[in-house]
Amino acid sequence: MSEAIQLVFNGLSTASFYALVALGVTLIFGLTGIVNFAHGQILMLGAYATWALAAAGVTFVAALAGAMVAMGLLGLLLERGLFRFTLREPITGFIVSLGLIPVFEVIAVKLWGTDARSVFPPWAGSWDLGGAFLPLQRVVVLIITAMVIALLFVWLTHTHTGRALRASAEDREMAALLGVRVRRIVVVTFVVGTGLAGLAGGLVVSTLPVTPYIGGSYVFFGFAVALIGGLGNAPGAVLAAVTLGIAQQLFERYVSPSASGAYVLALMILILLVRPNGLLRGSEGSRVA
Amino acid sequence: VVLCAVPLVLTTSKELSLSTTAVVYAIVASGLALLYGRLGILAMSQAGLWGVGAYGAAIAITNHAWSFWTALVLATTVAALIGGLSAIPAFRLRGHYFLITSFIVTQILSVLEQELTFTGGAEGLLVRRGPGTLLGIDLDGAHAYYYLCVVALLAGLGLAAGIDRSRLGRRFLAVRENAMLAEAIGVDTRRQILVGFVISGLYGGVGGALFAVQQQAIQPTQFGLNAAVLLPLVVMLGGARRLWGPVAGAFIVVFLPEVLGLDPTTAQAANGILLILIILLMPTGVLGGAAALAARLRRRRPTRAAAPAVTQGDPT
Repeated sequence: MSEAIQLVFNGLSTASFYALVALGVTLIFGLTGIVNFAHGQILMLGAYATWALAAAGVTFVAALAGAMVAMGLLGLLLERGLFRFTLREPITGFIVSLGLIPVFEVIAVKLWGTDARSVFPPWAGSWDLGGAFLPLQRVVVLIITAMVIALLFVWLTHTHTGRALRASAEDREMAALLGVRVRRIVVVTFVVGTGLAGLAGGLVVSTLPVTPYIGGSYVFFGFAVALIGGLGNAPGAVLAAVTLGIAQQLFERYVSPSASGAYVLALMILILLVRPNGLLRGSEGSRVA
Repeated sequence: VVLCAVPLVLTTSKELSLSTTAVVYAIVASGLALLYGRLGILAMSQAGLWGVGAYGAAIAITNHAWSFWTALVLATTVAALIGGLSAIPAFRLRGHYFLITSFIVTQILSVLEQELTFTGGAEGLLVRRGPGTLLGIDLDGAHAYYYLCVVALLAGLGLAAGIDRSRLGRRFLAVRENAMLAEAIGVDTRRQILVGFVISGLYGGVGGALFAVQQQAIQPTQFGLNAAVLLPLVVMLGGARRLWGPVAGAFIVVFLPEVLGLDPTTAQAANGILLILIILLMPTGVLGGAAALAARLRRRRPTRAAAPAVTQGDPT
């Protein structure tokens, strides 16, 4: 029993990072068709921003909010400066984001060096739940993630902007005809998406050491999660994140601790081959042959 | 001709070794150009196949004491086989979905290279034996090895040119332009895709084996995410639809950081910025851009003499 609790907890803990990355990816893709592969590097920059703020004496929660805002601004800059020129040809946007990856990594290396950084967990200690070991910091991470995701869904379904976003993702021209300023919605989506990545980065740095090169693996799993959930499908992304997080823990425990990454990646290809639209339907079924 | 003259101009051993690297990049990237430029499929798996070629050669040479030539054949065969396997997702998936799975292929291969024992783990493998002598020529020297790589590249370009002129090449273009229409007129698109990936695997294998022997030491990180990004950069920089595009792209990518005097880290960022600029400003690559410019200049001169007013509105 304790083993099962531990497994689910660890799985959810990993899943929370995947979910935050995947939500940003899936929202941006659903609306613009652009796959922003530099999303993981934005997470990494968010982690460093949180670290820098915390090192400057700001409390953890404020540093987290600061990182989120800073990455949201970065998203604004990227959309205005680069991605808006690629809306017609989304594959170009993907390639642009590939070019951004080394740029962000080098910026981080130049500013902060290659040593691993971490923020001292503000909530030390751990809970003992039926023999399972639950570090308090990770519990807090889970709670913050759950709250933010809940807020995001309320925003998507109950506010004017959120509904306009979903309408634009469904049918951009129709939404524009109905008076939605689609261009503005695209900007908002970029800001929200990169802000979520910034938050994820802050949460990562409070639980694991961070180097300039961590972005790749997060974007990888974030993308896998977004794909399996169906690109453009936000609830699907959350569901897929939980599935993948727990699957990874299972592999690590019962198959092989070191190569779990490869198994999960192979699993991803299998899922995509069997259900090319993801486990839940994505908004872009037509892209699949 | 230019490629053969390179060692006469670039005399230092560092410049020569960079040229060899550029030629190897050009070989690997030519395989990707075949997929992206001809079949219209952008695959991130080419970096993985490159790694397969490099590791195949290194394992055969170092662990099993094979000769360079048999190792080259083995590495190429294995890379072509895995290239064929990596085509399977392309049968069903398109666009972004395929891009991601092809990225995953590179990632899986890189993880395997990291975890398996006979690949030497994270430290990689040393490759201590070169091609030796062939027909009385010692191919282990830096100059001779450069020419060996150039011969391989020319063979690769010859194959690509042959494909471009053949029925196979036309079927590739049919798949690129409109897969459904191609299917309707009797082109088996799956088969074209499979063939394309096997051929791109050949390039990856040859390039990988030559790379391993040149570098004398290989690690899994060399064929991971960075390489997966570098290869499309090389292809797009030069121009994906041009035969010599990957060659031009490879030499720019290898020599530009040297010319600008950038350290390796900054050079990576420069590559990224270059990729963004190229894709936004010159989507046909430098060769495509240069050709368009030349065509414009050629057209402008006679027309200006004849009817100056018309050239004003020339949209090209």
